Amino acid sequence: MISHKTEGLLNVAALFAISAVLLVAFADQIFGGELPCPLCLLQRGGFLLLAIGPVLTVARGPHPAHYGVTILAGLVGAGFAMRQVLLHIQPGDAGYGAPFLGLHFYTWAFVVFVVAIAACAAMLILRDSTPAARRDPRDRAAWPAFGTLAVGLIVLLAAANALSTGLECGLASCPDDPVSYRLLAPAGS
Amino acid sequence: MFLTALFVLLTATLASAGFGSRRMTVGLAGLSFVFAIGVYFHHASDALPLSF
Repeated sequence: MISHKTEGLLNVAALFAISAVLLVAFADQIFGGELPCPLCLLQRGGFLLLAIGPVLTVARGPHPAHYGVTILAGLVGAGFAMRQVLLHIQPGDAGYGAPFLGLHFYTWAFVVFVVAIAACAAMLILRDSTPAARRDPRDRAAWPAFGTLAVGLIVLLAAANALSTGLECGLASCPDDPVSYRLLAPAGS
Repeated sequence: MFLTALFVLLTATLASAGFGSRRMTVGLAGLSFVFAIGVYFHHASDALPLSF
């Protein structure tokens, strides 16, 4: 049985893990020079959807419904990633972007979304189902500082993605194979 | 443009989930899911290169 204290800490860890995924994607964009395509951006959005459940748990305490939100987000994100996998599944197709540890980012994204769904199912089976009114209030006292940091980081990364996508796409629909930031390009080019 | 709007919406949803009211969070989260799926269908218009 997973205690409320451990459950809270695992949700804080999940937020840091999602932040790490988004930071790796940003590092590849900024230092690797690979601009994200619309489906890549949608998968980043899927990871932010995935973060809603853990943020709710960290800010308001554990509840089974939060895992339901995360499972729905995992299914949506896995659907986005699977489409990009299928777009490049034909023999001879080199895929979009450079591989990372042997797999393309969209394949890793699909794996992470499926793992998140499985982790939520495990949490729903193993968590302590004691109602909120009968929980030990000291359980939450163990993780508020880390929790606030994790929530702040994920909100910051969401805002950074909004800024980056605005620069990349401008006021038009994002191109399928972007090569430059539209809003940073010289006027008339 | 739609993707930028999606990230702005997600930023608001996550900020609300962390620091706002539950009612607003439920509304924003629902809107985020629907909008994300809508943006997906806007961009996923090409047929997949599959044959069985």
